[in-house]
Amino acid sequence: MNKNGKPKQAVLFIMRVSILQLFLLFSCVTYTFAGVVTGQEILDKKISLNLASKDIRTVLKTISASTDIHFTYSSDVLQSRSKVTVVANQERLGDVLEKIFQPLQISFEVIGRQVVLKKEHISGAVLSLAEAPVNTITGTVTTPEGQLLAAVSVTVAGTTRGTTTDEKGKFRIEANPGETLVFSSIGYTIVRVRIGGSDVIDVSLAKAENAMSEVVVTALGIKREARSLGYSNQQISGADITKAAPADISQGLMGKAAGLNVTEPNGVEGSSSRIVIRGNTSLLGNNQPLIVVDGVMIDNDPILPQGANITTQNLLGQNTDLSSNQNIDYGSFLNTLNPDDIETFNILKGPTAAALYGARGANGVLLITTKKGSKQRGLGLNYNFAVRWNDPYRFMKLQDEYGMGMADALYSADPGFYKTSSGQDRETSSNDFYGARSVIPGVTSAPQGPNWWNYIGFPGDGASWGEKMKGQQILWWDGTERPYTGNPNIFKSFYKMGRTLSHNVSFSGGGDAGTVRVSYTRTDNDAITYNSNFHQNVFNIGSSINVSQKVKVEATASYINLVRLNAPNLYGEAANSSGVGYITDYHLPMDYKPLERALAINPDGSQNSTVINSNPVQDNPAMGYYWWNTLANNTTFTQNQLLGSIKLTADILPWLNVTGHTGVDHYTNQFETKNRPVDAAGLNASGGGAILYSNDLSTVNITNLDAMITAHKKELFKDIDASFSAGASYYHNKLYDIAASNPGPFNEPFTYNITNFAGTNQALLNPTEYRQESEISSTYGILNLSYKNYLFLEASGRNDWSSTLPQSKWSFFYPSANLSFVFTEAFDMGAVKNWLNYGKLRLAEAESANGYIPYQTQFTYSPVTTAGYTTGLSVPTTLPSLNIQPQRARSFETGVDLGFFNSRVNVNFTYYNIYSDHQILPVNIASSSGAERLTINTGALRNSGIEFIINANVLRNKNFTWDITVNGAHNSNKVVALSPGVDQIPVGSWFGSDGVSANVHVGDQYGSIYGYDYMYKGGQKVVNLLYADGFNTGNGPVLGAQYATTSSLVKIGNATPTITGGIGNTFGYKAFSLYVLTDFHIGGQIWSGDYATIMGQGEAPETTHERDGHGLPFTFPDGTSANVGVILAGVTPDGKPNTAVVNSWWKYAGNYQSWDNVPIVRTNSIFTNSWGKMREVALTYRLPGAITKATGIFQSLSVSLIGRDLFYLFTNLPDRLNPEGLTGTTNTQSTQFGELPGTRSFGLTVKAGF
Amino acid sequence: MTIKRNHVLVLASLLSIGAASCTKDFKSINTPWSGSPTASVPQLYVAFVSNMAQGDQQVTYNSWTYPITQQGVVYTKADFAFGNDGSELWGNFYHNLPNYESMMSVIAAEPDTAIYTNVKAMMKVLRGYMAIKLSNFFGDMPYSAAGKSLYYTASNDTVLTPVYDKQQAIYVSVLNDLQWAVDHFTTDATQFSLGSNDLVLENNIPQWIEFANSLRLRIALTMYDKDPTDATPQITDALSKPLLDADNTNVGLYPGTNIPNMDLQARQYSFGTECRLRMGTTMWNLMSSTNAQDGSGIFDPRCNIFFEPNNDTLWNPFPQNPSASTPAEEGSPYDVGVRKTDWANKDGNPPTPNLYANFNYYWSVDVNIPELFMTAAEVHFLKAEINARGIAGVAQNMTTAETEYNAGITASVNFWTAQAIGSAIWVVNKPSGPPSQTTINNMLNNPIVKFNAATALQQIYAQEWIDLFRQPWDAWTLMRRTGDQTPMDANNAAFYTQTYGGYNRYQYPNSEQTYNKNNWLAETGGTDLTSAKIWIAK
Repeated sequence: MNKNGKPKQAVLFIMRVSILQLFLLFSCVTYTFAGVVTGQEILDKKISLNLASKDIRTVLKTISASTDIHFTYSSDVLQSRSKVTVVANQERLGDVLEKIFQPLQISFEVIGRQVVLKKEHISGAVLSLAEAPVNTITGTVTTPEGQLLAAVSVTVAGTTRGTTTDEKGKFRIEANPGETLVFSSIGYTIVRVRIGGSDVIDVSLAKAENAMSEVVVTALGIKREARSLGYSNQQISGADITKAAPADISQGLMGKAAGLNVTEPNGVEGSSSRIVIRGNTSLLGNNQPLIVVDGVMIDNDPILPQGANITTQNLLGQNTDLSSNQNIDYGSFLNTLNPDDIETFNILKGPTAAALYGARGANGVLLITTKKGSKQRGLGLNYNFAVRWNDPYRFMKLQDEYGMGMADALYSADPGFYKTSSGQDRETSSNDFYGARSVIPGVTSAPQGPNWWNYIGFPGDGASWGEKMKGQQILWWDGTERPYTGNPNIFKSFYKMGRTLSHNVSFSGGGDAGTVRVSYTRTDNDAITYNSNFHQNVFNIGSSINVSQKVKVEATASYINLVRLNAPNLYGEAANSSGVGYITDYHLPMDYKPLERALAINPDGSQNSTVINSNPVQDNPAMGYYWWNTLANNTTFTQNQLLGSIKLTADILPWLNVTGHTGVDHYTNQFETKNRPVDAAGLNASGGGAILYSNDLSTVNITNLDAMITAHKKELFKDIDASFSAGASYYHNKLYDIAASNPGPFNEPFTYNITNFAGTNQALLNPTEYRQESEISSTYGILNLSYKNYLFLEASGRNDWSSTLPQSKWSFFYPSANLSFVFTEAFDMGAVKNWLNYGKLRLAEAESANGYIPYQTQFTYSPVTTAGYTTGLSVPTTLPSLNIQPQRARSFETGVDLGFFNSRVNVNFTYYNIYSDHQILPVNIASSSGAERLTINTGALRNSGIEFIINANVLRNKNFTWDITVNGAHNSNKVVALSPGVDQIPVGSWFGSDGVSANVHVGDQYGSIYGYDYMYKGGQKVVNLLYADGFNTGNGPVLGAQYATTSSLVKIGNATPTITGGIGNTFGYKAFSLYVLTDFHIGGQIWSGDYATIMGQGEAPETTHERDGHGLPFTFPDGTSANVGVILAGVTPDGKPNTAVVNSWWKYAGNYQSWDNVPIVRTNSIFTNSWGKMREVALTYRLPGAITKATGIFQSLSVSLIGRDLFYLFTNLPDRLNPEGLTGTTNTQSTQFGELPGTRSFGLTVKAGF
Repeated sequence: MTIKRNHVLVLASLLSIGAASCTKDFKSINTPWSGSPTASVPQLYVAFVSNMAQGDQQVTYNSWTYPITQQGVVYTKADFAFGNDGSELWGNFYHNLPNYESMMSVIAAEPDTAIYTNVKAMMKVLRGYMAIKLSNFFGDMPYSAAGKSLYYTASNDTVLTPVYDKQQAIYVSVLNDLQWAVDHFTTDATQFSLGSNDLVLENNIPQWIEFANSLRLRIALTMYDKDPTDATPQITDALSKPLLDADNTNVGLYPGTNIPNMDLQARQYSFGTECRLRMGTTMWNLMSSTNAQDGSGIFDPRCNIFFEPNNDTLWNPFPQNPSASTPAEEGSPYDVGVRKTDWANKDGNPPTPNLYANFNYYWSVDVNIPELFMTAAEVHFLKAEINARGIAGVAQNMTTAETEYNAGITASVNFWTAQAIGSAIWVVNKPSGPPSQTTINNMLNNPIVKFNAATALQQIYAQEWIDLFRQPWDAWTLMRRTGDQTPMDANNAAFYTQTYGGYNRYQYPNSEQTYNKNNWLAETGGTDLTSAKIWIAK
């Protein structure tokens, strides 16, 4: 404060600002006035100058002084002390700058109040065209991939004539022959074309990745020069994502960003996705990045009924059984966001870049900016059409020689068939497993019983250890006699060709008042499974409005309506409602014939009980119910989402900008189930807890409010520019769900509602509720300093207040700092600059902190839910976290950005190290302490790794271009500590101790796989032999052999991959371009439950080797013999080599099963899951500008043939197992079970501009 | 510039204040939307009792405990691992300790704590009952330091890892609690009444005294052979005070009356899922004087209540110790779906032959039969044993022993017959009324049952063992503390020894080895064997 000056004015000023502040923060008005002045406004300013033969830097200073704008440039941009003469009388600033810079081959862009100067890089040879008469030159500017480039500056060198391209990339300019057209756009290399014999000039601009003048979007939507960033920020354009018509944004991101691991699990189109940046930072919590769409914070958790949230559940130690927690996949947020509406993606990796998002940005941020429209030529109308056929083609490889049976293979070389009471050969029934051949032949007195299931557990009904299929005529379960034959693809009848159609219509336009873009997208999908589809409508509007010279509004809104019928049950294992993957992989014997689909529903509409009761696959009656469930039971998931954002920017004072933003994400998820009554009268459910009708509605409201004030000063000290921002934000998230169901019987037939209930227990109709609410308030400050425009320091501090923490801990602070040093400008590089034109060192250190899930900081008694005791209140078994503090992450990052050969080759390399500790965990404690879990701060993870991105313009000439992009990442995700005395925590399991468990274990990479391993003696596997008394006693003949296992579950694998990445190639030839993307995943192990299943059940081709006569001579109990014997390699428990020949059944059935209550070796189904995939291919033909012009209708037209997920370049998995068929999108990414077939897509896209 | 910078600072400060003030709703936002910050004495009491109900542990009884005690038999060994209900039992008890502690805190905060003496006594009885039941599965276990995790602070983290107490110490501690209860129960009208919230005895204080005292007698007698010094005064005192046999009170959870909506799904589940239970020869030999499969030799009325004949209505018990020549058993006698509409069909659908006599189908579906803690009949048998043995300061008196023995049998038969009569869904072969005195007398005079001074102890144990039909865990305790003097089939006894003889206790839940490792190691030495005998076992 000026002590002697004008206190009154100062007080008035503070009052003015304070009132504004109060207005912003306390009146709950969602709009706040703030922001930076637009570039267009600055360029439209009128100035007067009269400077003759002045040094150009002097000229710029003079302009700065009179306009309060500032020029940013590197030393090589204004190397020469050239003199210029400028005379202007109330001329537009933009025109004056053009006059000054164009002869110097310098271009400029306005960012805030900064005018960034850059030297024009002339890419390739100057194209020479034949002489032509004076004319109006027209043409189209595109990228080498054919993407139309709008807003490209087209000027005639040495003149004031200039224009910009419209949204179709078109331009029109008057020019003389011999003059040179200069095409320039931020982020692209400049192309100069001398005008020759044609009046149509189509030009392709290559990207200038990492060029010193590239502008990127950073945290809070602040645009900054890439050169000034001390951390990694990868930008991907929306067009890059949609090249090969992905089903959703997650698919489009696959393989395109270093360190961004995108997985879509086992399932059909519309399934959820999992995105992890730089590895897992939370032991049990959400590890996916925050998604910010135009400032609105959203997460990508999978959608579950009844408002359930998998992160919350896992943090409370619930729902870690993978076989049930996500067996119906309803998708996640990124499924519904429309890729066509996206301008750019910015991937802020790790806490460093995301420090300003606070608690919610600790896993990194995926920043999405939608399109806002631009001034257009023509109608400004665009139409994009895409059709994709989804072909389930990659089915598991199975044998087709032997039919259903289990222990049959132990009885005889030709066990024959079971017979009907009249003596006719009949199909094996699953009940036969427990019937005549249920005993292991020869075992007489085993105390636990001689039945085979006491040795190998219970397989599924797909067990195919039965009779050889040679076309024998036998009686089938439906009473028809059929030849007993194999089927090379028994799964096929469960799948069909799927199809997705998408239409997108958008209008874009603009004028002095601003720009607007309106878009509508309709997508229709028919799934690869039966009676499953979805329809989606997305309305999007994006606009930028100049309210006044000082105030601008950017507003975007999306309304998304998704209606999805029957997201398929994938791997659920309930007896009467099992998933398609579970049934096909576990319950179909190799003699299966697809009869049920046609029979499941009787002509009168009732359920065909014969299919349920007589189907051979009925031990678990899953198969009997499958088609009824699929065809007669319908669940419709409807999502209605409104995503809105309004941002106001205001230029309060010449040195002070204010930005205000409000964002709303409001959505409802509704699940309505209508299950057809099983009787023709339409009244009854099938019993056993089945329901006829249910309705479940979730409402979610997420609100963001942000305000930021920025003060900036050029030359605060000598050669040092500075700016300081202070801001506040508010985030509120509220969910409410109510659900009720009607188990029937109905009063009124076929009338689906809750109250149509003829039962007696009305309490069954009572609804259930679920709620979740949290709030975060924040303030932050950002200081930016730059020295001579080559050394940049940014420091930030943020304080969050999180409602999810106890009062004494709910306020927490964390700082960050980063440094960027453009050394190629700081030093005289001499001749080095001929090949290294750009070099930057980055260095960053940041902290971030996280709150927790709601409702955990106050003690409450839990209502007893057991019937008869519902008046009780009990001390909870998970004790509340009364004293927790925020969990924290500290990250260090360093790297270089290098541009070689005039930025034709750009390299970005990053090393990072993130230490995440004070994790808030509900640690398991001994039940004898009175509780099962106690929530405390404990445990630490360290992620360290490298990332690299290489972009190269390999070839560029008049007709042919070739660009390569390679990215890769290696991440070490080490578990440093858990709670005291605890060395492992389960994060997910498959079949619990009867299968495998995914644990985090101190000292290991995140995601170790635990199961029974082989037991070794002297380095040899120990083999237990089975004698007649049922034990390994040596009493009597050897009847069987099995590998001995460890006494408890031990670590048998780890899921963390060694390296992931992608390689993209784009070839351009005249109007054609070919884009090919492959991605790869090297290392990281999985446990394949499907492999264990098909090996143990005799379905894998490997299991027929001995049965086909390639084994050792073996005599069966009935005296028949065949070459089906094997010797299990290893030693007997006494250390002697095992020499016992046993039936090969033991090798497979005895050592592999996916579910097994008898300890069985799991190691043999562990695989290193390395693969490379042909992910995207797009061949595009873009109609030349002259032709589109001639049509008089089109401004542009391009057609692409696309292919997605075409094939694997390599994979380690046997039997065509699906490398990406992992279960679910939770933190457990190491289990594969009940996979659906691999699906490839072919399609066509048409993009037309009018 | 000074002015401008100060402006910025002021603005920043205002932003900070603004954001910080937004915490005003945090507490209400983060208040759990379900549950309650407080709990009353009755609410905590009901919660405590809810943890005494039996869940899936009944599957293990049906799979393991019955064949171990020989009260029943399974035709093939269970798929469920032995002791896999240990975690549930363990959790039920230890989760109840915080409920106990919380209730004591609530009482302590009341202005007049004296009126809660009866509630405190009830809680001591129930906690003692649960502690001894659990200890009889495991042996030594955390007790004095257990259940204190509510008091966790970073500097008090030992509450998370409670030390183990010897079974003897637990027995003595519980006996002291029971003695306190017996001495302090009062019928004073000023005492706080749980009323209908007392789901166990409906606030009937005289019956509470009998239950506490009877439990004391059972527990003291169970440990008598190991620690007569501590047991004797408790037995002496217990015998001098009211016991359950005074008015033939049987204590437990009564779904039909005390707990109207009691959930019995777990019981139904235990019979519905791979239940291989059949009547074994051991029990048959004590209920029928011949092997006539038409049931003509049956003299014990409980036989028709506990069991039912096979699909061909033949009383064909499964050999307690089968051999390779034993015909294989199948059938689905507990399939509710089938028998609900076709009661006589024990073969199931599709049919497979049910060759052997089964546990009565009604056990799986009845919703009135109680889950018992202790019966009056057992008290008679305890007294009979004391008199027959002449221990704990009681002189041997075979006459009294016989009287109590006969009274125990009579009480048991009457009780179980009453249960069958009271069953709302029991239709087929339902007893028409209580057994006549003639029936009782015929039974008491049957050579197998008739009191014989020379074999009195085995007879007493046998009848107690029969009465404990629905408390197989208590039968197992009786078997172990008497050194296997409960009934056992001598035929092919090696089968029993090899199959079930090695099971003497449960292994501690994995959570102990993982999360209470040092104390677990101190207790087990790293070897936690099911074959190890617990302290009370002979």
